[in-house]
Amino acid sequence: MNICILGNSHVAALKLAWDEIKVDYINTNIVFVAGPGAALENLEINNNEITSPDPKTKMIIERVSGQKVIDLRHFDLFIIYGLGYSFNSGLGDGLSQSLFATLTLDKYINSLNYKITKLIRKASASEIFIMHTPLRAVDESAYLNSTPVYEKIINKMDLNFKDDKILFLTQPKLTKSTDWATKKEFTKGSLKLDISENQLDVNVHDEADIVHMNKFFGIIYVNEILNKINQINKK
Amino acid sequence: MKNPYEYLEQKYFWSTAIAKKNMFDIEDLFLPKFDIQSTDKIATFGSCFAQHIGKALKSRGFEWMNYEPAPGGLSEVNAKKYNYGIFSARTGNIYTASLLLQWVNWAIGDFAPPEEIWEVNGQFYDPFRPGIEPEGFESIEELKNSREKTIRSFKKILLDCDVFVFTLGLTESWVNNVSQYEYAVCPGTVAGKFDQTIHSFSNQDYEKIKNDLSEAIRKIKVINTKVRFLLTVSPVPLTATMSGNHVLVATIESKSILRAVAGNVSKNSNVIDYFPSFEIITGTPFRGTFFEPNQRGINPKGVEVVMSHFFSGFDSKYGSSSNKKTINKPSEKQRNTVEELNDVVCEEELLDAFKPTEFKS
Repeated sequence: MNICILGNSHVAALKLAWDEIKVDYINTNIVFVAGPGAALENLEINNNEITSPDPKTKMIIERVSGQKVIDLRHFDLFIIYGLGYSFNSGLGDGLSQSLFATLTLDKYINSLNYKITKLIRKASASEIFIMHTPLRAVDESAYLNSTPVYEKIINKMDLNFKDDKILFLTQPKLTKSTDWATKKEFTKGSLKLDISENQLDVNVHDEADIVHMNKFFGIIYVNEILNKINQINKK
Repeated sequence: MKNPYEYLEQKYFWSTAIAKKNMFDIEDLFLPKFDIQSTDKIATFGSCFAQHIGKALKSRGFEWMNYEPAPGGLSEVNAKKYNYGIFSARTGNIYTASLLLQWVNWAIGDFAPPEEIWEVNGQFYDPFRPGIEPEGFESIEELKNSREKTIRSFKKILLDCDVFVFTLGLTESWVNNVSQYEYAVCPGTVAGKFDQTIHSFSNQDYEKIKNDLSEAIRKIKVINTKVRFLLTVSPVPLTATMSGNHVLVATIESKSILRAVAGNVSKNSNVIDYFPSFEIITGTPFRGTFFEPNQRGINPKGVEVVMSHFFSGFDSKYGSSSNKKTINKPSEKQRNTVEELNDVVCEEELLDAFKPTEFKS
């Protein structure tokens, strides 16, 4: 199974996790294509290859992926992570579920995540998984009164794209403190996406950072994704 | 000695003010009692036609109050679908003076909203804002939270606004005959189920409308001493009538009553004014030019003409002061915006779905 994960800084947690657990998945190969912030804004696909007219973006892609050429035809699955598809808060302040679902879809359609999803889909028929930016690690009490609707909202997103072989993933329950929040422990020691030439930089996110998660978060997420793929393949 | 008519200006004579003029050259229809500055906070509520006034104010850079804005990231199309940016808060259409008084009473805490909620196929609808959520609410709690937010926003508007624009739309109303509260529309049309043992039709008369409007204004002035009011009457004919009269006769009677109430309530007040949008659209000099082919909807040109009279009224009396953004004609872009947004949100139009089957399109 060849997987390509595209995203922004949040990909760091998945990459660090994969470096640690890949020995358990000998038949799986993952290539990471990521850049900080909106670095992938200039991503292009030419002759089935991921590239960019912007030399800096091209350099970042090469460094993070470790590959000069990334041929889409090589991959069975694409995972597109973060890139502006996010939830800043849960249901609250008089918002209905219906409106929240509509808002989520509107925001997704305007995100870089959607733009890249469309690029990939145009060039490849392989399955695409979509992952939102990690839920913020806010105080647990912040959304305790919020109606539990997280999974319903993601399922509604799924329904909008089910004919396009696009699956919207939910953040693993193990990583969550409430319906709309990540456990605070997963922000501790989270590392920045390493775009250095030798891939040896170790830059820890600020302690106040509540959106970037650590390797342990990544391990739970990657294991869950690979289990999901196994289940799908068994069907 | 001259008789009094000999002292009058041309605008007071039909011949010189109307008959000898092109309809687009008719002027001085609105002589405002007070100025509106671009820094004044202006709220708009009422029937469908009130939406045009809010949009025109916004497009000309006036401080149109949007105290319940759409969540960031929601597209313009969906914001409209969920009734954001239509009125200054998400009240939906407030067609009658009594509904306005009901909203004011909820906002200031004189009465709590009734517990009645409509359920259709597991979704919940607000009897007082039945079209506010296109798919209804998932739960009663969700509905109540949403309505509470609107009531809070409405109250804040009452406290903060400098000018409260209200467009009177209907005399015909539907009430709960046990508790006497009023529904936004007839139960069983937009949502809910009609039950003749609970739901009663009421075609409000002049006295009731005048009393309810006066009372709403009085209550608002108690909590906001600086507020001024601008009343208008919607020129949009009734979609349907329960009065027993032909819909044309019922329309003229309703609008005439509303017009008379607006005139009476504003007549002796320095802080309550009347803007004649009704006359501009329906007046014979305009020969029905501003109606859509169905002779009910108002076309974009009509909205533009109405609003140009609105702004030129302020211009001719108070001039284009530096702190007024513009009272010129809207730019091409603004005009497009007016036309794009001309499709107003109007629950009453759903009554059209209940006309006899052989006439349904």
